[in-house]
Amino acid sequence: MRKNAVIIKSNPHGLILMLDPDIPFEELNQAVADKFASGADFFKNANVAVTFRGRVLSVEQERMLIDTMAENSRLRILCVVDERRETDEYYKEAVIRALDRPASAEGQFYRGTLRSGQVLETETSVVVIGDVNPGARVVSRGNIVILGCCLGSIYAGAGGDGSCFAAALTMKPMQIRIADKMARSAIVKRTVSGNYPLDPRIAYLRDGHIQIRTLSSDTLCEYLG
Amino acid sequence: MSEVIVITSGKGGVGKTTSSANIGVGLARLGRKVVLVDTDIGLRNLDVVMGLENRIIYNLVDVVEGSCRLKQALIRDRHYPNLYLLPSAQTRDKSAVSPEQMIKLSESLKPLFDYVIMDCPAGIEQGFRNAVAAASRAIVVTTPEVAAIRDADRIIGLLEAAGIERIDLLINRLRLDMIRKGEMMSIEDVVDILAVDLLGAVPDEDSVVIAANHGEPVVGTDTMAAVAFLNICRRITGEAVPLADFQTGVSLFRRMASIFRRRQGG
Repeated sequence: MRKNAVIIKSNPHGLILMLDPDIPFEELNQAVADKFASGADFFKNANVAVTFRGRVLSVEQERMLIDTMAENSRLRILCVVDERRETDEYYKEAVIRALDRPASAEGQFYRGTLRSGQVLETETSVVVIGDVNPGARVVSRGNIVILGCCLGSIYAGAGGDGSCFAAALTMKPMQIRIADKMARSAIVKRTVSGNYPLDPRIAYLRDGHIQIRTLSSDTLCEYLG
Repeated sequence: MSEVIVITSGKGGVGKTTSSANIGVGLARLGRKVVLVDTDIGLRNLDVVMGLENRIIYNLVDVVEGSCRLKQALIRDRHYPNLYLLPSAQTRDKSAVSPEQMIKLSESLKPLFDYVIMDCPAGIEQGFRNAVAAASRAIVVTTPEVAAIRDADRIIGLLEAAGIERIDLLINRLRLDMIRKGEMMSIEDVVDILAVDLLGAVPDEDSVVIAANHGEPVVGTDTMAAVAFLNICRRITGEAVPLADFQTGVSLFRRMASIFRRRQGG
């Protein structure tokens, strides 16, 4: 086992544990156990706050280390002071990596009607040849085009890309989301006919709002421009 | 003291969801804090009848699985600020939730509401067991038809076996004209067969269906069905509204009918 897998320092409120970032966690946990077992008399039953440094820990791992410390000494650990810096950066990076993958320019087709309870999720843009019934859902990282009647919920730009759009030959979605914006339909008195006229519309973000416009060359120019 | 009431029937299509919606609205009109829980996972309807389907973000399964906080999933009614809906999931099925989880869920709902109303799915399988798990009280909905009454009888047996303390009967879709002609069982006949306390009876009216289609329960209008539901709610809260009330309803109906007939004749 490496010598200085754990270095204990103190600050006015308690202890700072400098953790080796490279060794496996089990080894690290053992090192912490040894360190505290040998220093149990030194620490007595002091009340301390603990800070972990040098390594990004999951909540689970943090809890395990605290348990180890408590088992091997008479310390009363009041709280864990989270310095967040490394953890924050780690999370931020992970989120950016996940979200910033640009919606690829590729697309795929789905043939058939989506009925209530069915969910279509795609990494790329998607063209649905069929209807999206109430209670069905289409989620896409890219754009959504529905060659049919859209009455369900649709979510374009699910990765956070606000430049995505959703279009349908009949656009009466229950809910529509583009990136981080959401809109819901007005409650319309449902008629017995269930007949919806063809009225192609496109939905996109403009000035932070979802716009649903009649699909024409003008609106396409506005969307593109 | 809050109560968990399950609304069940065994047979499908007798009006559990419609009754749940109307009882929820009725109790809210009486000033109670009410939450309607749609336990029909995979075939959700209560949100449609309440006209709240476009507001669903999270649902019962999300709450149970810890994907969201309880209050994030509760949808406030459009008209009654003390009425909430906990919608069910559409993309999952009944096995997504266990009876233990339902008990835990209703324990967290109880401190927030006077009444927790569970809208039970048809059948006697897991969906039924989930809905019944946490209830201390049940309302069995039936119509005056032989098949529905058979199923109601079976359900009452299961509810008694599950240790439900109080079981009441709600007779739905009563056709007064057919009863008068002797073509349909009367309230007394149904109560005789099932031998449980009668909570109320609701006449079969177009208004109930029309209102449900528009996403606005019928309670709050001045139709006979609306009055019947409101009286049922009064009885749920413990108010002693005489059941004879319904009989005057019948006679009122008859009186109106006879006036109408006289006019036609004249």
